[in-house]
Amino acid sequence: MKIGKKLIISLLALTLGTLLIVFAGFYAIIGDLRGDIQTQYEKIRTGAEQTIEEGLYAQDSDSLGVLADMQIEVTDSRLGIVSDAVRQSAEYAEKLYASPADYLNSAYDPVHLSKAPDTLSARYMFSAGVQETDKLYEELKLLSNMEEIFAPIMKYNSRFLDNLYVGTASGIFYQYTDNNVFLEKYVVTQRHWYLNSTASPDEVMWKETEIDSYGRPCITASIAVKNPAGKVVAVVAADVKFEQMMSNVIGSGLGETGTTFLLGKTRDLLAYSDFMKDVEAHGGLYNAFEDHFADPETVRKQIEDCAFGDGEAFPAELDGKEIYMTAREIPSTGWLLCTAINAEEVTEPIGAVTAQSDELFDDARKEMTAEFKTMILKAAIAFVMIVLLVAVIAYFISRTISKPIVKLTDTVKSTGKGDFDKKSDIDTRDEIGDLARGFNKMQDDLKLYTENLKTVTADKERISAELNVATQIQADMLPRIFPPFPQKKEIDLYASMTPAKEVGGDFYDFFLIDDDHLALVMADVSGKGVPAALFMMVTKILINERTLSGDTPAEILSVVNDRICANNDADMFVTVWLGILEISTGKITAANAGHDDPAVYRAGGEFAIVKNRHGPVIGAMEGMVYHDFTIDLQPGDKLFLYTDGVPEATNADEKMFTLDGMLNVLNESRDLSPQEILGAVWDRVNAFVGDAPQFDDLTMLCIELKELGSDMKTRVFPAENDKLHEVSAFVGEYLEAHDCPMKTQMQIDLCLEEVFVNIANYAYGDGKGDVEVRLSAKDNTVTLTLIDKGKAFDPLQREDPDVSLSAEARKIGGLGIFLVKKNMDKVDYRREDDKNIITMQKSW
Amino acid sequence: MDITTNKNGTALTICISGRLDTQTAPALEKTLDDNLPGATSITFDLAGLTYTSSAGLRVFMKARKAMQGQDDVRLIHVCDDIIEILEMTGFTELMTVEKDDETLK
Repeated sequence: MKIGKKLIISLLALTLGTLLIVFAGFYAIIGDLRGDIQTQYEKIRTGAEQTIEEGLYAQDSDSLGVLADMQIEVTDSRLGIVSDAVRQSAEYAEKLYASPADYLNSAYDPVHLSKAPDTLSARYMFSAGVQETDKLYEELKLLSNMEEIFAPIMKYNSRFLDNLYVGTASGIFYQYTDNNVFLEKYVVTQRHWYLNSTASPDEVMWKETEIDSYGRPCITASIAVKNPAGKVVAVVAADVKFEQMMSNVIGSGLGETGTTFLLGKTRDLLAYSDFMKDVEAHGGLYNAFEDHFADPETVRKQIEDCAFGDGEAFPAELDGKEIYMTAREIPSTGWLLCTAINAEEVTEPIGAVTAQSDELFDDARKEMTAEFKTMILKAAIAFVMIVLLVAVIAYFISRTISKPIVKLTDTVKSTGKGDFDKKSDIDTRDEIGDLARGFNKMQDDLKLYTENLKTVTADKERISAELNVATQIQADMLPRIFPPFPQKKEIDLYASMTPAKEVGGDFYDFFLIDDDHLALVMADVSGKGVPAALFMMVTKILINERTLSGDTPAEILSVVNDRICANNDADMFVTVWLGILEISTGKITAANAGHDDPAVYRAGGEFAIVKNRHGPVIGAMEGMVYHDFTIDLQPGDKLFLYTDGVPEATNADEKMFTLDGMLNVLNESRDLSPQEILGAVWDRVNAFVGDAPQFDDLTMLCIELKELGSDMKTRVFPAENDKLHEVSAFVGEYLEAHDCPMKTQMQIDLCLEEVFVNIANYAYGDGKGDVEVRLSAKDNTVTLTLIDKGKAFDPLQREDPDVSLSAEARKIGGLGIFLVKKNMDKVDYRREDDKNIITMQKSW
Repeated sequence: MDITTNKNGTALTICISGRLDTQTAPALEKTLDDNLPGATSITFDLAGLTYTSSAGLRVFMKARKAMQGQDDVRLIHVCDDIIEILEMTGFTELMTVEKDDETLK
């Protein structure tokens, strides 16, 4: 990975890690904060509720007290009005009774109750069973004056006064009202109000709530009327429309659930909001207190304590509901007025407040949550932006760091391609700057070094090029076209040379001396390089030149040695193996000047080193003598020539390939062609040497004799005339087989006879010997060779007879050899190895 | 080789057939030697002769040397191949040679 990329990734990873930690911390803190706020709120709310509740109680307690005071005042005042009305009416009645004469003439005429209209008016009736006397009517007449006072009182107080009436001891019931209910069995003196007031004649008596004669709940105020003698003669009473009078009071409550009720002297309920309903339900008055309060005695006591104590509101249970109540005494009656309010209502505001507070808190919390979300979102955005920012910064930092490196890399690359002039322009004061300066310095050094090297290399290249040319020349000197003699089906030849240096001292050579003779040369010049190459060329040319002159190998080597020694100031020498192959016979005549002995393969057998007599190396000393020896090759035989580079090839362990190694590979590949054999040897030597440098030239030549002059036949006959027919038959058969024309056959037969007879007659003198007859035919040419080991004699040297002489002048014989010369295309004689060899050739 | 001899007065006729070579020539030479005395002309009928080597030519030369003139030795019914040899060796100038079907000078 590139440094820039690594840097960016590292920075981003670091930033991301840090941000994640911060973000996680931030998130955790916000979470805690939310929890804390919730807890704090709960505390505050609970505290606030308590405070509010306490405040509300205090406030409601005060309110109840004030209300109760006000209601007491109203009630007391209203009761006072009734009380005054009754007292004033009684006083007026006493006046009537004190001076009746003054009032008997009044015009007031009350109607009987049974006939009374529904309008406000005076009416009368008598108690059941009362004797209606004049006196009674007179008293009624007197009482009719009561209208004087009843009428205005009623007129102004009809709101809560039901009626005003007076009952006399005599049984008169005088009434001022708009009610006209007539009760026949009514007896005045038996009524509670009458009885109450007669029992306590000096004060206004209050009859607590009862259902009046009209079936309505009412309270009655009454007072006794005394005659001047102080005797109670009548009772004045007023029925208070309790409902109306108390409606304002009872109906006025505190708040929505506030209620007011009235307790009588017995501390029973006199009036309360559902009084009428209860009355109707129970069919009359009943002791409702016990029904409405769960613990009536305790509550009665608490009410008493409140009314006559501090007047503070206290809690109680009314109709199953918790209430707060307070109580006050009504001074005029001694009754108690209680005002209550449901505790619920007192605490209701708390609910509202709490609800509102909760709502507010919920809002706040929602807002807070939204705020938190916004914060988290902002944090996330900040997170992303920081990451992006860091990425951008990291990119620029990495560029700052990696750009010089990239530039330097470019410079290094171009320098690598050989451009030493492209300098790095990085001049920072850091390690990269140091590196760049160091690199520039190195470039300069390299440039200088390269230029020096160029000069040296140019010189070396010139030498190398020249050496290459030398190598080429040397290589060109060696025959390298294979097969070298395509027309020579008898032989297959292959050779190769691999010099150790550019040029080597080894060489091989082969060339046809004549149609039947092939020269084979294998040589190794001492030393290597150009001097050896030059020496090699000289040697090669000399040998070639001498060989073509027709000498035997020994003679050739001797001459070449002398020639080389004459000018060998360099004291170099060369080992040479020189052989001349007679293709038609497979016979190799060779001489060896200190060279390695060749390996010969015999058809069906194996390669083996054939040791022959060695002469000294060429170039050592003048006047050396060499000796010819022969190696006879039969069809299928192979000759392998080599230089010491092959057996002495050395590997990295300083071990040599050895002659045995060479023979092994030769024998493994003995059935192959010469070219393949050479390839096998070369491969094996290379594999053996491995990485070790090639020390010596590797030069090899292999020749295979495939056939002897195509179809070569040899037979040895005793050199006797008697054998002529056998010889003739042998040759004739051969010629016949080669489609030789009759005439030519005869000519050849003739020549064969002449030569054979010649040998038979003269070669061995009186002794006996053999004649070897060799036949080879090819391309309508037959070669006939007769070899004998008799005394040296060249019959061709004999003078030809003069055929133009007269019969007398001519000899009888001596025509044989002449006929041979005449009939054959070519006749040769040579003496070799103490043999006379006559070769004849005839084509058709 | 077969040799038949016919001596008609001084005219000797030797018929030779087969091969006349080193091995067979001595027999011809003996026949010639036996019949030479008294003969003034020799005719070699070579009608059946297919081959002659220098050994045969030697016998013919011996016969020529024993006669007086060129016409005294006649080679008749000579095949082409043998005529060629005779020409080659100059014998056609020394004796009368007649081809197989005609008489040559």
